Amino acid sequence: MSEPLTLALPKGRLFDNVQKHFATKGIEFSFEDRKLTAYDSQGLLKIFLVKNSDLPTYVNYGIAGLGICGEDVIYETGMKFNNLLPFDFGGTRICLCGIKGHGEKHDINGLTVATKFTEFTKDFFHNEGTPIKIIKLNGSVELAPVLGLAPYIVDLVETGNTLKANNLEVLRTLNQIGVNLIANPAYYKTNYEKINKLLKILRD
Amino acid sequence: MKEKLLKTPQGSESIFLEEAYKHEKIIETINNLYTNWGYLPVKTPVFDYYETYEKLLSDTSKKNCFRLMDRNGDLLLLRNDITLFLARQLGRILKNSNETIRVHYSDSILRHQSEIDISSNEFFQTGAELVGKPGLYGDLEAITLLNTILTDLKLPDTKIHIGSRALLDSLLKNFKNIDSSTLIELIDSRDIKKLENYLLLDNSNKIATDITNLLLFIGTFNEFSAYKKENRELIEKLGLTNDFKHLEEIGENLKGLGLIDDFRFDLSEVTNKSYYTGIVFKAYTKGIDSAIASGGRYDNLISTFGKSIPSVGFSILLRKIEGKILDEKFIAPTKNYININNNYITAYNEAKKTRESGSVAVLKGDK
Repeated sequence: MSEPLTLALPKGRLFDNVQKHFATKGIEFSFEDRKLTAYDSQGLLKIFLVKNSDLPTYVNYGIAGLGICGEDVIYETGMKFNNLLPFDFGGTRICLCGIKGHGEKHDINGLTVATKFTEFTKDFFHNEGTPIKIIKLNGSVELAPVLGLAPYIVDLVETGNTLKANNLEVLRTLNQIGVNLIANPAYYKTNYEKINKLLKILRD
Repeated sequence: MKEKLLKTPQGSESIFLEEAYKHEKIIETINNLYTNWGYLPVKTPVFDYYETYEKLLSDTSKKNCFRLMDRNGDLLLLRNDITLFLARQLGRILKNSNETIRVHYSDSILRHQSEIDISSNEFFQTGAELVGKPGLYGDLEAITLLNTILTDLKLPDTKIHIGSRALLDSLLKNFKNIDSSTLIELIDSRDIKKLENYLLLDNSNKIATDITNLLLFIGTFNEFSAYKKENRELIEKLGLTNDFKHLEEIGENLKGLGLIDDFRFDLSEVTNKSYYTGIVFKAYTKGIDSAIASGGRYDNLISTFGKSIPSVGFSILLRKIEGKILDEKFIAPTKNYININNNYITAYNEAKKTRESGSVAVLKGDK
């Protein structure tokens, strides 16, 4: 059997989607309790389970040649990968949100925004010509307007339930966020035949 | 102070002992090959005026280069790419010369390295430039020399991917709304959907798909020839016949030399360095996270600094590959220890004999 391709998968909700999707294509895998590596049933893939935000680092170093990751996470790292295949699942949108009914009001300094997505937020508003002050948070971003840390947040919005529960609303959708099969470019070049076969299985 | 003693600035490195021995031995081996091929060494300055190179630097190079100011307030660029520094020197020196010259270099380069990307190992370049030789034979010399070096180093699982910036430039002549740097970014991302959508700005659905497939083509020489045959009409329509013919001629020669298995024909190798004008190539080794060598034809670069001289060359990022080179000839030899035993003269003479026989002798003992 030839050497399997290496694939990093993110822990959490996206993992379940990937596992189900791959199973529909005949590629089945599961992880033994607390184990972070596994092989698929066909021996095509050696799979690593990693933290979502660390996934691009593993692929960038070529430890995992392939990865499945949201565009938001990749954007923040600034790393360049091959985007080999978009998936229908796991898509979301990144939005500017604020307290319900207050609207989007720019003061002399532009907008003050709390967010995990500092690179995207900076680039988006600078491209738009809006001055922006960014406060970096790592989670529970919805608290920022409620507690008065910042009047606005930039965050991923799926159902909008968390926003609603905290009296917040979407002011603008800034971008759609997709989930892609990514590859380290040099890994693709040295394994393109095998990777193209995998892509064919996943596309068909 | 203690913290500064432990830390080294990003983008700097030291090499010690056995690792440094291996590094030196590898350079020695490569330098011997350069000499056998008629290449002579050159040394470039460590810094030069930033302004001279500014328009030739890619966005990435602008981000990771180091700049400093001299006492007159002029902005200087620390050597971040030897090819550019060399082109500038050649532009100055070769003003009245039409001869072909072969030069090689092996030297440190200075680039910032991100804290999350310490694997890039872009500290040392060795390379060769064939200056004043246009066309097929020049291209063949550059890629076969690179292949000889990589083979001699016994670097496992390595392929040289040959593409063409000239082909991309010919293709761009068909379009009005396509910007070359956006197109290159999309080719590099291999995002089929985005690439097709971008090409739709100037094309119908069918041809956008065909051009996408063309731009993302990678294959063996046989696959490349088959692709060329199957897509003759498209290639003619897009005005790419000569570019394909040139790549095919390269392939035929490599096949005749028995080297074709070491190469892939890769039309997605287009490079974002705008000074390339002909073939471009990169070498990849399994298990190394980025290209280990790159090069191509740059017929107009030297004219930026003086006379127009067609040139082709390559550079190898040596520190990237050293860990993969396992040949014993690069490993520091075993030391034979000779005890002084209160008689330095006898021990010295014994060591001398050992050294004369080609082994390493080290004297041991205190007084």
